[in-house]
Amino acid sequence: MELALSITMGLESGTEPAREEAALVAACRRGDEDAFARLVRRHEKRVFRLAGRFFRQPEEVEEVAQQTFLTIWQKLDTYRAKAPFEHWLTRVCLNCCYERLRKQKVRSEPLDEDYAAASSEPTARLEVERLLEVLPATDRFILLLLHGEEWSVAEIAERLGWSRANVKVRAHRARKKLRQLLAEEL
Amino acid sequence: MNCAQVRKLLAEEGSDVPGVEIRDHLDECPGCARFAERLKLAAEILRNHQSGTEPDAGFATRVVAALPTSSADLLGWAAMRLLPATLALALVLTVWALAATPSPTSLVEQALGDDLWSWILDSPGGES
Ligand SMILES: [Zn+2]
Repeated sequence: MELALSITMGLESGTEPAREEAALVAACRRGDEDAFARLVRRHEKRVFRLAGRFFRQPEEVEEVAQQTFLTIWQKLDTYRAKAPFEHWLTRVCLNCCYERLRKQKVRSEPLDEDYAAASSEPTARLEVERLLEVLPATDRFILLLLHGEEWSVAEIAERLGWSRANVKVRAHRARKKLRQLLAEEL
Repeated sequence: MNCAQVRKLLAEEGSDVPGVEIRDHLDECPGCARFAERLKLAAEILRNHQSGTEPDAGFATRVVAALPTSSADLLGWAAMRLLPATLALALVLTVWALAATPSPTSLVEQALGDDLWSWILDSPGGES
């Protein structure tokens, strides 16, 4: 929830930090790499936290964060300053995460890193972790936004730039798959 | 209410406090009770799924170093990207040039032929 709040709260326009950020973005557009480094430092924690929601390995989190900032740099011309920069950054980051998950298709690591070490323990939690591993990555992506970030369908749609209908269908499908998986062997 | 209906409602609602009808079913159905427990655990695992990785002090520098913007980078990038295409084009042009250029033998033959015709045309016998 803390993450969700930190993502939704943009800088109020007209305030000093907002003006500073607008100046940084303008400098980046002119190709100022020092300004871009400052912009990265300003937002890197937020991006790491968001990417860390979907990827557990630190190298993967860093790679997605780097991809996010490179995309930002390359597409800075398309950013219209109507919405706060953070919103656009969140959208780019989420889409980078989604693309990476989509390419992975089958998960190569357990959701819980302790799972592998303790997998001989037949507890209910481990059982559920094993079942969640089977979920397609794109379904897990939506479920992590719904349960992890506690975002509604409308919020997910807005932050990803997807249509509500699209998110609704995906959320329904992901929940259905989760339900089917959790009902296995009962 | 049957098991499928109960499970669907539990999964769709995602509520920690199920209605009376569902609670009654869960009391009597061990399968659905276990399903409800799994569902709760799944929500908890998804909620707490966070790598906790923090950026180190050099992250921004590494990002900037990876930017393909400086002219040196662009030249390097262009060279790497365009090198195979340039080599292929050079090869095609070489083959074409060799094919289009007449061989020395054919040039000599052509020159002799031209001379022969001019000799025939220029010769006094040719004019008569
Ligand atoms: Zn039942």
